[in-house]
Amino acid sequence: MKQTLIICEKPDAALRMAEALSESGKASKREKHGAPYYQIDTKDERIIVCSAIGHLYQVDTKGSSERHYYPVWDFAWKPKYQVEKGQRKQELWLRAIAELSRGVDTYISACDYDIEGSLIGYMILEYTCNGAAQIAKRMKFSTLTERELREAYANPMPRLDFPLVNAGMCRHEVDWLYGVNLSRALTESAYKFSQRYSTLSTGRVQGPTLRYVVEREKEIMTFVPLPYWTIEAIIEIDGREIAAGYQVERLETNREAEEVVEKSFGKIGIVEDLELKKYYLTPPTPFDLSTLQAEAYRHFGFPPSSSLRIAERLYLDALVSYPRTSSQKLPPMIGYREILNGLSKTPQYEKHSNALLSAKALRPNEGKKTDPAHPAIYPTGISPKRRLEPREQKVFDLIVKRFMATFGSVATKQSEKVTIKVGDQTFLVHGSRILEKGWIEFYEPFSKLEEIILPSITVGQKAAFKRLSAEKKFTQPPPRYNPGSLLRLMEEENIGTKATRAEILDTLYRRGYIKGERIVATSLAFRITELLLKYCPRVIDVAFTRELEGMMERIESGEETREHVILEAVEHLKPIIEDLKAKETEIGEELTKTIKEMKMADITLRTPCPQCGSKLHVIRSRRSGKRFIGCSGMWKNACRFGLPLPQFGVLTLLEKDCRECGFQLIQVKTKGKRPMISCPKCFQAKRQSMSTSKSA
Amino acid sequence: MRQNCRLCGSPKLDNSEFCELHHKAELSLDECYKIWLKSYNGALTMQSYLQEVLKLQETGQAVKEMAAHLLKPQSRSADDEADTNNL
Repeated sequence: MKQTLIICEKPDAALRMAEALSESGKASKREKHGAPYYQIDTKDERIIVCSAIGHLYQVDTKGSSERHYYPVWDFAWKPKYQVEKGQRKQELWLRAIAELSRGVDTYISACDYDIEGSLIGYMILEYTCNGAAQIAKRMKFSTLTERELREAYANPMPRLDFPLVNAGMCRHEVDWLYGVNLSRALTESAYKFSQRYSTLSTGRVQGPTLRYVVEREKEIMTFVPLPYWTIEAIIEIDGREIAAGYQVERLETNREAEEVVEKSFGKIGIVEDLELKKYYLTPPTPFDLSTLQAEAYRHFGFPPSSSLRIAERLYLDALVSYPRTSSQKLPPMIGYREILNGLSKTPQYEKHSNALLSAKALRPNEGKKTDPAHPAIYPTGISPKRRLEPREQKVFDLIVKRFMATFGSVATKQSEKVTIKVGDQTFLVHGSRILEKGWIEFYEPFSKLEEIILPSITVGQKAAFKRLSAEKKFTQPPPRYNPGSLLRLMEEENIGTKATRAEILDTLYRRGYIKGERIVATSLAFRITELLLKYCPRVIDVAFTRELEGMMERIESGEETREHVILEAVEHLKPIIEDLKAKETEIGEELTKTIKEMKMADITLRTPCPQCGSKLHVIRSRRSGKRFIGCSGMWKNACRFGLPLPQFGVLTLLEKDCRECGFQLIQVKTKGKRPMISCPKCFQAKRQSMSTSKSA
Repeated sequence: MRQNCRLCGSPKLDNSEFCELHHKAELSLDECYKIWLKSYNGALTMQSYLQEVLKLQETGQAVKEMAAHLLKPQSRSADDEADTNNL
């Protein structure tokens, strides 16, 4: 009997594949070394469907070398379990696939059709299935729906997508070369100076991304607000009070502002002109990954990495198409009507799906961006078979509504501009109303148009100035990046890939380089960026990163070779690393100083000691091992002030103060529990009053 | 000679008493004073300007530190002295 082995990327995808390919709808689930697989027996064929669990191979130093040694230029692909500790599951998984591959006639990679998926499939076929990558076929699909999986199985590509595989290998290898050498250079420099380990990292994409945040932080830190004045007026027309503004939005001097108020106060104006303008709002374009991530952040506050994880779960449930796409195109072959028919079965989407289905033709408003592998993100029309978690439900709803909105008609709005003259002064009243809601109806509540309805006004009508004042205002500093806007910037600057950008942001947070939702660069970020700028500016040079990205993209289209790109990268990196090595002591000294400062800042309270005014610190007792708040004036002023602290969980000093006593608040995070915010001073006072009442 | 910034202890620039950030803050303060002066029709002393800037929540942290430093009597007299020496 002929045997076929299909390798999927994740266990859930393998289950969907097996269900789609088994005629009875039930594939028999089996297990080998703890790895699940599915067997489908037909008259003349046995299909085995197994899966990877993400990347099972990774780049590492060729042969064995000390983990802290650098520079390293020789690398090899190794099973992950050989490189990282505690990967026993991966070892057994690979063993299971190796055993399943015995006696197989046809190999098929059914991993996600993109760089990472193609690489995962290739590595397993090449190294676990004895070089089967050279004879394996490739299934290409964008959704895990039965129809698409069956079609992809019936018509596989005859060979693996080697340009994608090469591009994937190259990206991992180049990132490894940069990441390992630069991060080891920083970590080792700090270690050699201080004899203490602090994990420091930078990389090909991480460095330039951090630089953006640091540059913005510098702009904010050196911002001086400038004063300006606006004229705010309330006029009465036909017995109705309306807000009006002066013809010049910002007046630069207070004299100008005072003059305007003096000249018009208490006067009667005349409506001199009335201008109506119609304008059209085109529907949004379909979601590519970064737009979805930005919208999910804007509406729900989800970090980009969470949105991606949620979208991937929805994809594995066959509810939406493959989310790691940069396309904003929805080709007709996805079956618009079929999808809308499916969606109309859900009461929530019934009305709008039917409204779209009643149209003669359906044409989405596609965007410019394309992706050779996948269309934009769209719902499959399948209703969820399980109860979605609240976060999944939100992202699913956003994807469905966005999909429907792209087919909506143009929205029409009318703006009104009323010009009122008082002597030589001109005031303006603005109004707006929606004439046709169009696509907005499909995208509510994610899109809202506000209306300012004015009463009917005619030219020559009188307008009495009821209130008139000059308001002093100040210019605002540039806004801080948030995860969504930083991701968008990375995309615009073409650094990183749709799959890795969110991960890079996570790393920056984890390393303590950035913090907060409105991203703030820490002092460590400043120092790392300064050092890299001083000793190896090309590492954080966006232009070079972009150039390298372009070269790697050209591997996908076969215009560039993996070997050439790696040679270029090594040639670029070698002098930088040599330079860093030569300046290890200076770099180590500067880094150590910053790390110490940061650690000190993390344990120093903003609120001074209420008894002696010295700084308060979080201290761990050498004798008891317990942590508490103690006064730094203990030795100098013999101050014995102290406050107890919770002994378990991760302690953070918050930027907020207690409403009751003004003392700095603390937060304690314990795994699996809600973060606890409390005031150590109030807690102490409460404890003391309780013990007093008990003893009384 | 002092090697570090007078305000934060970071390495100072060759041509300044301050680090890059505080030097930039000082330049911004100087530059913006001209605009503030124009906005208030010339009726604004440097001291009132610095006090006003210090109070605003939009003001950057490095600028606030620099403004506070410039408002300190000893720093002003030191700067005045430096100005006199330059003359």
